[in-house]
Amino acid sequence: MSLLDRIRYCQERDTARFRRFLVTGRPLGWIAQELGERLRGFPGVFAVSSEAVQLADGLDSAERRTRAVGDVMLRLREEGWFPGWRGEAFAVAPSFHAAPLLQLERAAARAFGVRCYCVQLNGIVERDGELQTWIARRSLSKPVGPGKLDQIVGGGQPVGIGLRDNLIKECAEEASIPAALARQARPVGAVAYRRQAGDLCDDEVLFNYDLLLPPDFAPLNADGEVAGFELWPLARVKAVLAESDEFLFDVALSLIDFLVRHGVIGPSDPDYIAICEGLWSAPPEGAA
Amino acid sequence: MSLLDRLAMIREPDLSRYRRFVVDGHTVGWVGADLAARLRGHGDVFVVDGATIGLSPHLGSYGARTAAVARVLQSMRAEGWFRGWRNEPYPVGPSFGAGLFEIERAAVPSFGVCAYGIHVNGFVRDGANLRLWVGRRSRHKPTYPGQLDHLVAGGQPAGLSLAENLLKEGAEEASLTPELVGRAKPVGILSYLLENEEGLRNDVLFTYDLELPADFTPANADGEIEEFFLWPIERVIRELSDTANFKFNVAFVNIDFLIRHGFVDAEDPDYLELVRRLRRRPDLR
Repeated sequence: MSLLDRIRYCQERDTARFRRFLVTGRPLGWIAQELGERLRGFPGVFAVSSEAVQLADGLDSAERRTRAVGDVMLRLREEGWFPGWRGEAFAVAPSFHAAPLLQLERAAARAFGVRCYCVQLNGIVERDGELQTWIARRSLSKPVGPGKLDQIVGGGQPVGIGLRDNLIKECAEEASIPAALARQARPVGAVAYRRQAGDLCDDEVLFNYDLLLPPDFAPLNADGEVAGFELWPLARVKAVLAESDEFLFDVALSLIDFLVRHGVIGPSDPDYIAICEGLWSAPPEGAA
Repeated sequence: MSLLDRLAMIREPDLSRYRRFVVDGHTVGWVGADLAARLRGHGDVFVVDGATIGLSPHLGSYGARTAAVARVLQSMRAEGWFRGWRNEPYPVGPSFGAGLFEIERAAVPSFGVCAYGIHVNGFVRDGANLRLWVGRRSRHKPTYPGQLDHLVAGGQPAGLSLAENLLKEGAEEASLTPELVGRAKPVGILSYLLENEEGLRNDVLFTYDLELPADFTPANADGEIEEFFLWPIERVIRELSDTANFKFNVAFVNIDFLIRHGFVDAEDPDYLELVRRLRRRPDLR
C-alpha cells in the first residue's frame, strides 16, 4: 500500500460499462449501461442509443429539463434507484461558471456521472511549531462512505450559493466553527479526478481551503453527519493514507494535496512526481 | 490582461511533428524534423527512421552513450546549433533519478528531453501580508536575459541531489547560508510540456517556499542576477497579470505560489483552469 494507490484508485477507468450523457449536444456525464437501458422507458424525456443518452428535443429550457428529468428520477427512486437521496439540487453545467443546463438531485447526479464540485477544509492547529489537523470520523448513517475518515469540514456545492458562503455554512453544520472564524479560511487550490468503476462515474472537483484554528477550539458536530473528531499530527495522516483506505477516497486526494503543500510529502518520496501530477486527473472544464 | 495569459503558452504540442527519441526501450524525448535530418549524418551514433530516433546498439553503457553523443553535439555546436552552450551535463532517462546517459544542457529542449529544476519562493511575512523576493536576470545570461526571476532557481544537473543543488544555487544566486537553505520547504511540483523558441520544454520543477527573516538581504555571487527587489504581493500580482516581464516558468511558479497562499479567489472564473494547467503534463509514455 502506498500514497500512489490512493491516487490510482481515483483514476480507475472502465469506460466500456458506460455511455455518454449529452445535453444540447454537450457531453456532461457518463451513465452506466443498466441505468441507460432503464431510461429507454421514458422516451418523452430521454433518447437512448447504444453510445449515448440524450435529452428529448422538446426539452428546450433548463426549467423544462429540470422538471422532466426530476419527475423520472422520482419514479426511479421508488424502484430503488439512487440510494442516498438527499433532496439537494445540483447544477449540471459544462463548467463551474457556465449557466446550468439543468438541475439534478445530488444522488442522481452521481449516477449520471456529471461533474460535482465540493469545498474541503483542512482545520489546522499549530502547537510548538508543529502542525496538526482535525480529522473527522463520518457518521455510520452517511449514504457515502459511512464510518470513513474525513476532513473537519467538506461538502458538495449546491445550486444558488457561492463557494465561500457554502464553506461557512458547512463549517457551522459539521463542526460548529463560528462564521467569523470560518471566514479566515484561505483558498489553496483544487484537486480533480474522474473514476469510472462499477455502476458509478464519479467526476469531482474539490476546492481546497486551509484554516488555522486556535489551539483551544474543539469542533462539535451539529448535523449528525460526524461521529467524532480527533486532532492528528500530519505524520499520522500520511501514515494512515499510505497504509490503509480508512479515508474516504476523494478526501484522500484533498489530504495528499494538503500534505504536499506543507512539505510532509516531499521529493524524497520516489513517487513524488506521480503523486503531484495525479492530483488533477480529470478532463479540463467544459471538455467532459 | 490576466494571470491566465501567462499560462496561455501551456498547450499540448502536436507530437506527430516529432520523432520519439527511444533509448533502451524507453521514450526519453521528442526530436523535430530538422534535427532528425541533421543527425542522419551520424549513423554511428544516432539511428534515425521514419518515426523514431535511437542510439546505435553498440553504445551499451552510460559512459559510452554520453561520450558518443557529446562528440556529435560538439561538432554541431560549431555549426551554430544549441545556442547558449553551458558545459552542464543533464541526465536523460525515463524518470527522475533514472539516467541512461547525459547531454549538454543547451541541447535538452532540442531533444525534447525532460529537464528538472528547483525554484525557491523567498518571501517575508509582514503581518497578514507577504512580500516576495524577485531577481532580475543578468543581461548577459544566454537565456531570458533581463527577465524577472526567483530568489533562487536553477536546473537540476547530473550528479547532484536536490538538496545539494539547493545549497549550491542558494549560495551562488543569493548568498543564502546553509542554515537558511535548510528552512526551504518542498511544496509540490509543476510540470508542463510546451513549444517555445528553444524547442520543446518538457519540464518538472520542484518548488520550495522559504520564509526569510525581515533583515535578510540577498547578494548575488555568480553574476547571474543583476539586482533583487522585495515586492509586496500586490505588485507581484500586477506584474504577472499585466506584463510578460517574468521569465515564463517563473511566472508559472509564482502563480502557483499565489494560489497556494490564498491570493487568488476560488470564485475567480479562471481559477480551475489556472490550477489545472499547472498540474499535469500530458502522458507521453
